[in-house]
Amino acid sequence: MTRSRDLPLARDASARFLAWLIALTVFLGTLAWTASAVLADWATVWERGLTGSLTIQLTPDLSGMGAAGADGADAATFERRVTAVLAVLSAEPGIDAVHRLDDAETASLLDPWLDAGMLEELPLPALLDVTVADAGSLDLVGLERRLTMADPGTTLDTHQAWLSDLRDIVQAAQWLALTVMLLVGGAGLIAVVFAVRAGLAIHHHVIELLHLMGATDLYLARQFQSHVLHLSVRGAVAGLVSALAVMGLLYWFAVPSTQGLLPTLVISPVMVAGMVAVPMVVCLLASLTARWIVLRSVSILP
Amino acid sequence: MIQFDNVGLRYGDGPEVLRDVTFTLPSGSFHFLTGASGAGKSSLMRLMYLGLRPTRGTLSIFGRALDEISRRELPAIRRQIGVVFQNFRLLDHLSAIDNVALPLRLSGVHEVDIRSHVTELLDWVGLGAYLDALPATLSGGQQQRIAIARSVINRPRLLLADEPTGNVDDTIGTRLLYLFEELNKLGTTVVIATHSETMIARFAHPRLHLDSGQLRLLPALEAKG
Ligand SMILES: Nc1ncnc2c1ncn2[C@@H]1O[C@H](COP(=O)(O)OP(=O)(O)OP(=O)(O)O)[C@@H](O)[C@H]1O
Ligand SMILES: [Mg+2]
Repeated sequence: MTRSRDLPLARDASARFLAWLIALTVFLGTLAWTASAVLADWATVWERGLTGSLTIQLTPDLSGMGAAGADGADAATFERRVTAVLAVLSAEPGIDAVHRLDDAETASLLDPWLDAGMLEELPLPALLDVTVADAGSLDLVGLERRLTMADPGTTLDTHQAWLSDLRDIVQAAQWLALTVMLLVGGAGLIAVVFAVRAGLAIHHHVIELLHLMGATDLYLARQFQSHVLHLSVRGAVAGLVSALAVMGLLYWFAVPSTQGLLPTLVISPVMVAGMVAVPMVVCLLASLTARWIVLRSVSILP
Repeated sequence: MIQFDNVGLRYGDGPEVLRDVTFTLPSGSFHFLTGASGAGKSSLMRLMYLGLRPTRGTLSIFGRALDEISRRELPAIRRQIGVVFQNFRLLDHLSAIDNVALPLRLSGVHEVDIRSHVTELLDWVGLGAYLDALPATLSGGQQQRIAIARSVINRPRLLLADEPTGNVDDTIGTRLLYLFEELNKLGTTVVIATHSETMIARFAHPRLHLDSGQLRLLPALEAKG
């Protein structure tokens, strides 16, 4: 004799519908979690890359521009200014290396905005790429003052504005992911509530009979709970597999085309934890919700 | 065992279907419950199996007043009451054997002990060939016998049977009454609601008689044969 369930819940139409909804919940939840984790990782990579470096820009004096024959003299003055700035930097503790971008490198940075013809005619600024040994020990305010003293035409770019923008964007995206997870999770739980309520109504006579025969509230709740857990696990596995498939597709198609633009994707423990935790939490919440609804409903039986 | 004290029962805003019902069933007793259709037999049964609470009066079961029994204790008490419902109330999706096994499962009896036990009883009520049949594929009398088997399978302290022989012929009816008597000899208190004069006459047991909501205790009819 096989142990058949006392309540024929598996035949309810709500069963299939619930499995689908759980699958969708886990699918979206896992994607949202992973997206949020990837963004956080990228933000760290960008931040690390940027806080370890400074850019110093030295603008050429534009007042003499166009004066015939002045080119050579101007260039010599400009070089003197650069040397003075380099001297300040080499005296600064905490700086690892200074790399002056040559004209070709500078031009390539401006390339997207200016066409080649214009570049030839414009005097290019000097760009100094500074590698900081230890971001903490560097006295940025002092450095900036000393640089302006050496040459008023310098600007120090610590990338702070861009960094804080980046943090804002990543944070907003993470909030969005969290909101998606909460909304989808909430919808999933509401679906569980309705499915269980429908089950209670459909099997009202059987429940009443079992109650009269001495079934405890917990016994009745467990019937629903294990049914919902069974459906959730099926749905969660389907949802997780689909999410993994979508992530795999994105990885294979999107990564080569964004090479260089975005940091390399690394599968971090946080992502793996999410892929394990999201389905588990969804299943757990679904089955606990079922149990709670049944316990509340049967507590009014005589 | 069971004691009713001035019990009244009404459904919703309707009239009282049971009025001032007072009686005591001693442990190990055997009673028939008689009365015209609509007299309130099933309602009285419902009070005894704790499917309803009286609207007034007090009821005590197994020596304890119902009002003093906490909700958590009720399932254990209900498991000691076997009920044959007037309309059987079998579970349609379960086979005969699983229907009968239900009380054992609710009491946490081990699966390995269940099958032999249930098979033996179904054999005894003449349904050995229908172990795996669903109730819908069985006749009214066969369903009734499953309901009876279910009510006695875990040897309840109290057995309440509402018209248990209404759908079977006299031979089977008599056989089922013997089953109840066997159980009664083992200590079960039995109450059987019935319209059957034959049964009442053949088995000499005192009667609880309901007449327009009021209960009288009548002595047993003289046993014939
Ligand atoms: N669930 C209910 N709601 C409202 N009234 C009910 C309900 N059940 C029974 N009654 C009423 O209670 C009265 C007694 O009914 P009950 O079923 O107890 O009679 P009975 O003696 O078992 O009759 P029968 O021999 O036909 O089975 C009837 O008048 C019936 O209309
Ligand atoms: Mg009746």
